[in-house]
Amino acid sequence: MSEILLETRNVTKRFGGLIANEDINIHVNKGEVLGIIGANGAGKTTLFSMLAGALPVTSGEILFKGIPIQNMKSSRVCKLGIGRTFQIVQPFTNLSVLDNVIVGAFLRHPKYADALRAAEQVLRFTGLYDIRDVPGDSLTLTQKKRMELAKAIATEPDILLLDEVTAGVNPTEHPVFMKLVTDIRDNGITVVIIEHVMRVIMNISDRMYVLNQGKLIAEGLPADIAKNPQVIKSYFGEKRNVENK
Amino acid sequence: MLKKLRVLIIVAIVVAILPIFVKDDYFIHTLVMALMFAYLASSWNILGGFVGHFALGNGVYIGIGGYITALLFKTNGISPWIGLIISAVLAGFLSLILSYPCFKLRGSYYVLSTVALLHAFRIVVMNEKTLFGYDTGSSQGLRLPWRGGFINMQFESKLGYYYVIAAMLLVAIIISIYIKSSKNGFYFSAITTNQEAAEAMGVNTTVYKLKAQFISAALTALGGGFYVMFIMFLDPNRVLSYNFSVEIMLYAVVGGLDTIWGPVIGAAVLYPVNEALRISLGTSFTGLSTAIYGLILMLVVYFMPGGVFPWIFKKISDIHRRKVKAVLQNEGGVPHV
Repeated sequence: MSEILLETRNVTKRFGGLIANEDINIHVNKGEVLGIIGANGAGKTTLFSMLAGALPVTSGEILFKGIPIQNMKSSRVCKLGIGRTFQIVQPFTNLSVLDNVIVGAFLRHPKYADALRAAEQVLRFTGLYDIRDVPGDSLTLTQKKRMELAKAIATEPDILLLDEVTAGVNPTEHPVFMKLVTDIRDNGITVVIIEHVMRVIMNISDRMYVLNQGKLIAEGLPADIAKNPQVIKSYFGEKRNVENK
Repeated sequence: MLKKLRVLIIVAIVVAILPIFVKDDYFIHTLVMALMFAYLASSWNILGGFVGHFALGNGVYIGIGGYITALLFKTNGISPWIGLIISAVLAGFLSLILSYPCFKLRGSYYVLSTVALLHAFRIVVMNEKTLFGYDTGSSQGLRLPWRGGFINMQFESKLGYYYVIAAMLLVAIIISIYIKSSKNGFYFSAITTNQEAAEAMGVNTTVYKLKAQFISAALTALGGGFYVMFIMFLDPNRVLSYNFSVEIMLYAVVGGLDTIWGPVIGAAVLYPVNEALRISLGTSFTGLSTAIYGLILMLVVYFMPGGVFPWIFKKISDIHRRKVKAVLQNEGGVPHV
């Protein structure tokens, strides 16, 4: 049994009458890539936002290394070691690519020279080093997605929450991102990933959870999840005959 | 950092030797006012430019600086140098209390809250005869007695004031340069564009906004204290007016928001222009000087949308780039710049 880094206990989130997440119990093992899938509106991003401290929980507990972090400010959650990317890229448009990443690096390296060195290393790792002086808003979407990753990695997290890194990215570039995610894991960072593109998430996840209408409906290895009738029902509807596929 | 300091040293030398060539008292007076506005605009820029929080109520901190320095001097005989420091510290801490709730607001709502603070402050000052037992002169204004001497920050010649405000501006610029090249500056820039993203990267946005507010308010209070000692009269109708706060913001915006030199250039260019227009046209055609000044502002904003300083900076680097290109072409090399 590997070490549990992050877990939720009966986490529920309500927006008025709408239940976005109900009684969610998940755990993330150290060193794995954990995939979370679910149809649109299943509550994946809500769950993510709560894990990252961007949203308070309505009830339940979130434990990171045993410390309760529910309702903690996201800057504190980040300091503890949870990094995140956003589904919609959030570049600092007034800063260059390098400076965008330096903002992240300052978290662990308060001196400019140290932060610069750390940021350059992250830029090489994410393949952005050659365009480091370009302003953050003049990148292509693919480059912005890479920069999102670089910014989060620069905070040197123990666990990285990736919200749809390949959304809007040209399918020919998917393998590059998949390689990047596995490289991140191989560098000792645990990854939790939300993804719509099945080919991507099935290939890179070590383990998966499936959400449907705010509830957890399945957990397991990617191969098992793909065969789970309940999952198939939530994605394709009642009448789809799996065997004939 | 070193390059930035080189420019600063050159400018400081020019400012230091300028009075040797100009003896005219009125000219020095105008220079002092221009430097003071450059100082106030630079102080405003730390919150308004670096962090992108468009405070339009800095008159509050100018007022705090002015009243505390003046009242301690007039009533208690405390040296303005000490009064300035006391007022800066008080203004800094008070700004934290006042801004904390305002920082929960975003965009225009934040701006409105600072305007409301200014109006509330002015109304209280102008309607109360005494504040904390001190006679503020309320709407009549506060007149200072002449005591003379360095210890009382009162100089026979305007040159004394000139060097005091020049030194204060130098400090404000050094603080700005330091902020911009440190972690604070990067965090401020991140907060300006995207607070949520900054939070997600471990930036406690509230703490950093308050830091900027503290520095900005404390420096502004020092400027207010200086202003009162220079004019020897504190008129709440002027200092606490909305226009006065807007004027300061305008110098920073027109000069170049979020830059070190923008607010300085803005005030150094616009204040003398405004003054010259007022002197030459003010008596013959009432209102014409204001109209021309407004027109100049509109033209500057239209043709230099990023501000005067970024515009000049771009022109210089364009010329430099063209030179490099020409050299490369002459040598038969491929221009890559």
